[in-house]
Amino acid sequence: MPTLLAVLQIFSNGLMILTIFFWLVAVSPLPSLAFLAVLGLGGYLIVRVTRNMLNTRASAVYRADLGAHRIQQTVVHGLKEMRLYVRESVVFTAYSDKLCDVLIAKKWLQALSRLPVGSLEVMGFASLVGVLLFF
Amino acid sequence: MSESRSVFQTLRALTPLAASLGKGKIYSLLSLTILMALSELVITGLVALLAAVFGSPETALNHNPLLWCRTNLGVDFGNDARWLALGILCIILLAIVCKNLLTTVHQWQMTTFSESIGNNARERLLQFFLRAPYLWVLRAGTSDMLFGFSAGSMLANPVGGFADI
Repeated sequence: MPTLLAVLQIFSNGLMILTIFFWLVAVSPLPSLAFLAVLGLGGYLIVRVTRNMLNTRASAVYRADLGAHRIQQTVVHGLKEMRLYVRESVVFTAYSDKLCDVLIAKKWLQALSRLPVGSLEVMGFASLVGVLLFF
Repeated sequence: MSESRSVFQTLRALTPLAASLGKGKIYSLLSLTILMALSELVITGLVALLAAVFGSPETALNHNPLLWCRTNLGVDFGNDARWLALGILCIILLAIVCKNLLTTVHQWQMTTFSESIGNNARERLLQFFLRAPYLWVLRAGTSDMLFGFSAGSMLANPVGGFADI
């Protein structure tokens, strides 16, 4: 549920963006609209593509974490049987492998989560260069 | 547990868990943080210069750094401030690409560092419970084990926060 602070932040950000937008359009309509169109379309495409990638990576993290948790539960509730059948080393190796999977999945998720902001930054300035070149 | 610790004391206490990663990892993370801060500084300076070029081209063309470029490097911007703005924008674009690459590498290294500490803690705990005398484990109960595992899995976030200074 949005708080009053979040609502005020959305309002102030919206006001700022609208002011900049109208000012840009009033000063030089064609380059500003071209820049905003490229940025908007590019941003939409970037978010659409990266959202699917992030979804895949997040589910990989969930699956790996669940696997590690299951091994932990096996140890907690089945320690006696594990000792009887001398399966400690097997369980430990499986747990290490699962934690390794968790690490790899989390690394990819964290690195990819940076992608939308980074791509938008680069694209914003690249479209500014383009606008300055062609207008 | 009631004893309060500083950030550096906590990092020192967690050092044995990071031993397998090596000291080089911590220094490379610090170097990356400094490089990222420098790139941010460069971008801020260039954006200020770009604003000056758009606002008052004459003043910007006679600004000290640009005068130095003209006299020492022989770069002539002519009288058209548009080419100067384009050049500055291209440098900003390059700096932003570099900054984003650095941030991605930093994020990757930071996740490796913080998650490895949490994973090492969980591995050591499992090894301890697998080797501990069974009667002791029965007496201590499974709650200690579960608490330890959940604490180990939550260790990565605070460690990442500490190292992100």
